[in-house]
Amino acid sequence: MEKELIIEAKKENLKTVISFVQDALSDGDYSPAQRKQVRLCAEEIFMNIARHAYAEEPGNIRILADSGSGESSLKTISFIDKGAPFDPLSADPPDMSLSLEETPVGGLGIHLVRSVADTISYSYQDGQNILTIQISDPANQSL
Amino acid sequence: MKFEKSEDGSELLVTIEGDLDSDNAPVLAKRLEEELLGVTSLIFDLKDLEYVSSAGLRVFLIMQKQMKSRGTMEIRNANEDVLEIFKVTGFVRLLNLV
Repeated sequence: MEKELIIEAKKENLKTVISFVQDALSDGDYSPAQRKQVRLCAEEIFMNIARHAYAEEPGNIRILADSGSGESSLKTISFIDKGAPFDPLSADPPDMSLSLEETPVGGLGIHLVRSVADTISYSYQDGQNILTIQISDPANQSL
Repeated sequence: MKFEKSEDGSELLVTIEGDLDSDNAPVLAKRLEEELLGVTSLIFDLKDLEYVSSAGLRVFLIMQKQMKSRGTMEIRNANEDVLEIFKVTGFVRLLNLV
């Protein structure tokens, strides 16, 4: 079942967003490990949009959360905003050969999402950034 | 979060419980900034830390950078989930995990 939330993309709304997503995905199987991965991805993506997509003026974000159907425990979440076009997948992964001094303190969030999510896709359509991730139960990921 | 300083002020033990996310990481960063004067040994005990996002990682990285020129920093008792986050971000190489 899919549920929708439309909310202003500002950091004060993070708790509301996480609660909505967790609640919406609670239908069907939903393990604590999967729940934690969903929380991490939702936090990183929402904060990224709050910080970058609407740097000029505030705006809304639309979040669609699909708890999956039947025996599938695959959870799907889409984040849609009308901010500046930004493809988070275009960022380079962190350079693990850098020294402590050279390592930048930014860019970690999207890397975490890429590490945790099973699939991640981005498109820019009709003036909207659309980022969709899918997360399965980590216990089943080897299947 | 709990902050314990040794009598001479050189050692600071910070115990973090529960979640370290975009909401409370700035609070931790600010408090550390206030407490860090004179500290040459900074220790984080993460025994009861259950969740960390990139906002928390940033605080550890900034602290590690600062402590490099003035002493040592240790991260103790990170659980499996938190360790996994340190691994995928390459932080196991940058931080002193014990």
